[in-house]
Amino acid sequence: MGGTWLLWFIPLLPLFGAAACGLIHFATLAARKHDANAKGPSGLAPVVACAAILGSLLLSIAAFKQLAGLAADARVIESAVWPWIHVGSLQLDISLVVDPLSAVMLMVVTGVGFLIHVYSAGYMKGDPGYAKFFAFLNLFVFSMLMLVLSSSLIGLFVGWEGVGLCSYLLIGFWYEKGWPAEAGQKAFIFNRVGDASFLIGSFILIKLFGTLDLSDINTAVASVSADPANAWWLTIAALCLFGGCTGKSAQIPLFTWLPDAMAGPTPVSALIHAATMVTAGVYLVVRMNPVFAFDPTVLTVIGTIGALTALVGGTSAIFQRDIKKVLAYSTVSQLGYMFLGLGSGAFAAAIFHLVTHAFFKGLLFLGAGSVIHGMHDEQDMHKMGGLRRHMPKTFVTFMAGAAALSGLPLLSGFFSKDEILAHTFAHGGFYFVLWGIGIVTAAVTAYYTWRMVALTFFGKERFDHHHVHPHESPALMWVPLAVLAVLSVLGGALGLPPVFHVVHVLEHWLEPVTAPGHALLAANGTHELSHAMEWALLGLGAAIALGFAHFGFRTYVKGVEQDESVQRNRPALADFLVGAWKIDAQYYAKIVYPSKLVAFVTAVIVDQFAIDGLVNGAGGLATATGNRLKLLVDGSLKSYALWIGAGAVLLALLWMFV
Amino acid sequence: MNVPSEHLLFLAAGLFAIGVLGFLIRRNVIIVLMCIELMLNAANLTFLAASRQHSTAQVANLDGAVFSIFVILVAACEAAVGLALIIALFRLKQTVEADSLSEMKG
Repeated sequence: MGGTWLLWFIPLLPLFGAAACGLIHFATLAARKHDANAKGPSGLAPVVACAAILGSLLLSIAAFKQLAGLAADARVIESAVWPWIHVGSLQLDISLVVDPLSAVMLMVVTGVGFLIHVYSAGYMKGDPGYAKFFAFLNLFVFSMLMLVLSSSLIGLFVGWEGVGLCSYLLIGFWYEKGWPAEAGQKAFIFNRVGDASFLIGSFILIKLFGTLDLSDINTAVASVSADPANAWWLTIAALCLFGGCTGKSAQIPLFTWLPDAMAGPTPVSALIHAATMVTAGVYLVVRMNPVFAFDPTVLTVIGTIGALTALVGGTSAIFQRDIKKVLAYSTVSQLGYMFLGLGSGAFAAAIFHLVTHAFFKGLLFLGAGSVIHGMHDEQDMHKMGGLRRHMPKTFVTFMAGAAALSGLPLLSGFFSKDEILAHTFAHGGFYFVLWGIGIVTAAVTAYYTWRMVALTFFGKERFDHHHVHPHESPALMWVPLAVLAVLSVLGGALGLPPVFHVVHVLEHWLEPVTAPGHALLAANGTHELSHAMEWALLGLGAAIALGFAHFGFRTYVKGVEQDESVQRNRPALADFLVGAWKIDAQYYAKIVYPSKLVAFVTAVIVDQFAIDGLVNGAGGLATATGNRLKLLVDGSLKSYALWIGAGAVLLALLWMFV
Repeated sequence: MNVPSEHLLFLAAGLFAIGVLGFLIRRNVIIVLMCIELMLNAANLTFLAASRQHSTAQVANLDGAVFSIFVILVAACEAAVGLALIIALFRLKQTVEADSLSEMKG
């Protein structure tokens, strides 16, 4: 990285890629005018898109290396500044900053992003919107990179909105089918609610700090919050920002859009709705950790919401039949874990789980995509079974992802989840309750994960052999799976627990970023666990994961009888869990339906009757008056003269008597 | 020889009334035009009466006379244009009846 302006190319390369893919799409459309099946130049799109992300990835690695070469407390690379809005005393500049936190996010976004781009080249082959898909995907990566690199909250917000837009575009990618378009709108509207809260939080921050520069805010938190009145406002701002996170990162109460977002193509679910965009909320909290850490109440709120989301998401996944729905609810649940970690003040642990989750959940989604691809667009696990013989590569990699997700010992998910739970446990008091919820969710996670594996890859083949011929996916698809599988298995090395007597790489690396938050937290007392306790917690985590993984696998390896018996004997319970605790139904009954009613009343009574009535009435009155008055204009010279004369007489009379 | 101004005004009112009446009830456009002349002249007479009323024994007020000359001038123009229109009308319709002119009915 010679000049700092080079940093701008990390987000700009995908933006150029998006523009190029957009042009390729238009060229394809032009070619189709003459021949409906013409491919045009659409084959170029994945090459351009992958090259753009690869360029970003290489630049990111270069930035990462340069950062690692600096002294630990000087690890910041700042780009040239773009002065954006200067109004009065408010100066909003956008520059890009690579520090340890954004470097980690850079590696995740460009690394996992690149793998998913390569996978998409195989998965989306033959789709009429091939080039358009890559344009959106590149645009998404651009927005995500702006989000993680921006030095100020306003630049972050630009990226925040950008990823929301791309999410909407990609969820509704197959909009001709109808329901994906609705799912996209649902995602967009839910995010809108969160974003409004985010904006309000930003406004309060401007009022308190007079700037939106993230590092300025972080350093000023201690001095600003010294004044009780300001501290109160700062608490509100932190809660508002967290409200934004609940929308983007699918937490209670705004999580119900994420399961519906599975309407999009599977690579989209992997990239946006598992690995990157939905973790933006976690990133924001860690990025602004002093703002959240200065008030223990805020952290408790975050932890409670996280734990509840983990539980609701996890239990909702148990009886889903759609393989992508299982993974979607699992993502909601795992994001809940991350927020539980944040709520416990374990910022590094949350980022650790974010990274490992990006690996294994990205892998699981891509694996599910491979299964769906091989099964000719079948997503119902009740119609799968025994696929391990037909798609061995997908099977092996999927097993690795499932093992990591369920937290089987020594895999990446085991260490990251356990670290979060250990921190929660160490906090004590009310956090014991949250820890309990976390442990229950861990059991549920292991159960539904291995149910999914058993239903998909083991047992009898329940599909129709005459119509479905499962086949392994091409190399373009399974090679990214293999890379992610290796990362899922070995990712735990980034953050081994203290009992192993090695450096926690990620925590050490993130130290400069999380230090201010930890300093604020230390004011309320520190929490340390004895090594014996840590061993006990690790053992408990391992036992629960292994036990429930075995339980889930054994129950479903026989077939779907368990699902059917629950459906038969406890229909209310099954409905409750499949419907995600009926929260979405409540939204429909309490918000959507009344809104539609208000909209109908407004449309029919206010608009069509009152407003249209007024407008049409004004026109009708003029027409009717004209129709009457035109009788006076009868074309006869004499009557005109008579009117003139009558008028003159009238005026004379007025003049004389009034 | 000292006719009061009121008499002149009565005469003017009478002339004007005859003009209006003729304008309203006659159908021949030429007669209608003549009735307009009658009304204009009634107006002239009113001007002159008013002017005479405002004259003193030493200084004659000529405002009314000046107005009358202007009115006569305009009336001459009007008659020229009006008669030309009537000729054009006659060429078009072979008649000079006012009632035949009703194409501009609303």
